Amino acid sequence: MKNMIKGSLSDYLLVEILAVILAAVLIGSVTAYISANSIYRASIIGGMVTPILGTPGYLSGQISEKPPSYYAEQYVSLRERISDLFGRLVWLRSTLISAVYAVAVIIALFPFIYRQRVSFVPLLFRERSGPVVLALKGLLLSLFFLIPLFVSSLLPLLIVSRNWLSGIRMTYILLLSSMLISLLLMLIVAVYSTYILWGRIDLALIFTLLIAFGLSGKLGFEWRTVWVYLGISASLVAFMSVSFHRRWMII
Amino acid sequence: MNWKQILALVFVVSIALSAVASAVGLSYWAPLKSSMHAKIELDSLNDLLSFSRVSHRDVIYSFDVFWPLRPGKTTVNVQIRGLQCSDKQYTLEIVTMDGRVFKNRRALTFTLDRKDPFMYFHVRVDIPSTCRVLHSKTGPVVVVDARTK
Repeated sequence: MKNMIKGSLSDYLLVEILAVILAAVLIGSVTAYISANSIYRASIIGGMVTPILGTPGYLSGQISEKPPSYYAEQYVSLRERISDLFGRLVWLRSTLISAVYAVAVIIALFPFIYRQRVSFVPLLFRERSGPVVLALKGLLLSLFFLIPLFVSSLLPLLIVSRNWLSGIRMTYILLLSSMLISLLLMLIVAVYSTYILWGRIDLALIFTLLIAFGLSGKLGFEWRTVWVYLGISASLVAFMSVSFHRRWMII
Repeated sequence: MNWKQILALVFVVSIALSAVASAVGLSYWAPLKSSMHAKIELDSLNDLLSFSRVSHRDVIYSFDVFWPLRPGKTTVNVQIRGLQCSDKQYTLEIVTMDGRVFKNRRALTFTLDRKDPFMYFHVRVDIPSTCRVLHSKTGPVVVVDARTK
C-alpha cells in the first residue's frame, strides 16, 4: 500500500495535491451555493407575507387578544416548517449537485488512476498495464483519498445547521448528508471502475455523467435514495471483481 | 517530507480551503438582506376613531411581520407617522419570537439576537380616541425598520 502511494504519486505528486484541493473546494462551494439558496427560498415559501399594503383595525373588546405564548408557539411552528423545507429544496437541485460532484471526482481521481495504469483490457487500447491485483487496492486507496471530498460536502450542511437554522431536526441533516455521501461514493466507484475496466477516461466521464444525470431526477428526498446509490456502487464493485476474476483465470 | 506528512498536509489544506469556501459562500450566496424597511398603512383609521369617540373605546390594530432577514443581532425600530395625540399617547406593543413583550408609548426600539434566516414578530397598536389623523398623502402608517449588524 505504502509503495503504491509512493509509486503512483512520485511523478504526479503536485498535480494530485492540486487536484484533490481543487475538487474539495469545488464540492464545498457548490454545496454552499445550493444550501444558501435553499435557506433563502425556504424562508420565503415557509413564511407569511407582511401586510405591507394595510392592516384592518377594530375597536377594543371586539376581538379577544391572544396571549404572547400564542405568538411564540406560532414562531416555533414556522421555524419547523422552514427547516423541513430546507432539505427538500437542497435535493431539488440534485442535477447540479451530481454534475459538479462528478466533475470534481474525475478531477481528483484522474492523476492517481492515470499514473496507476491498471487496465483490464490493456491489449485493446495498447495501454501499458500494471499488476491487476492493484485494481481493488487502488479503489480502497482512492476512497481514502476522497475523505476530504466527503468532509467538504458535509461542511456547508454543518454550518447551516449550527449558525443559520436553529430549528432544523437532526434526522433531516443526517438524511441529506448520507444522500450526498452515497452519491459521491457512487460517482467515485463509477469513475474508477470504468477507467479500470476500459482504460479510457472519456468513457469514464460519459458513463459517470450518464449515471449521475439519469438517477438525480428520479430519486426523491427519502432514505430509498441512499440505498439506490449504495446498491449501484456495490454492484459496480461486484462487476469489477467478477471481470478481475475472469482475467485472472485466463492468465 | 515523507508520504504520511504529504497526505496529512493535502487533507488539512483541502478541508481548510473548502471550509473557507463554504463559510464565505453561504453568506455571499444567500440573497438575504441585512436590513428591512416597511410602511404598513392603518386602514380606515379616521372612521374607526369617530366610532371610538362615540363608544369610548380604543382603536386597535394588530398584525404579524415576517421577513427573510440575515441572522445576527437585530435592532428593530417601530413608530407611527401621520397621527397626532393630544393628552394620551398611542401604545406600541410587540411580542417577539421568544415570547417577550416590548411595550412603549410613541416610538419603540429594541434589540434581538436571532439565529434563523427570518424574522417574525407580532405588533399591536393601541390608539386612544383622543388622537386625530394628520392630513397626508398615504394616511397614518406604522414604520418598521430592522437592521442586522
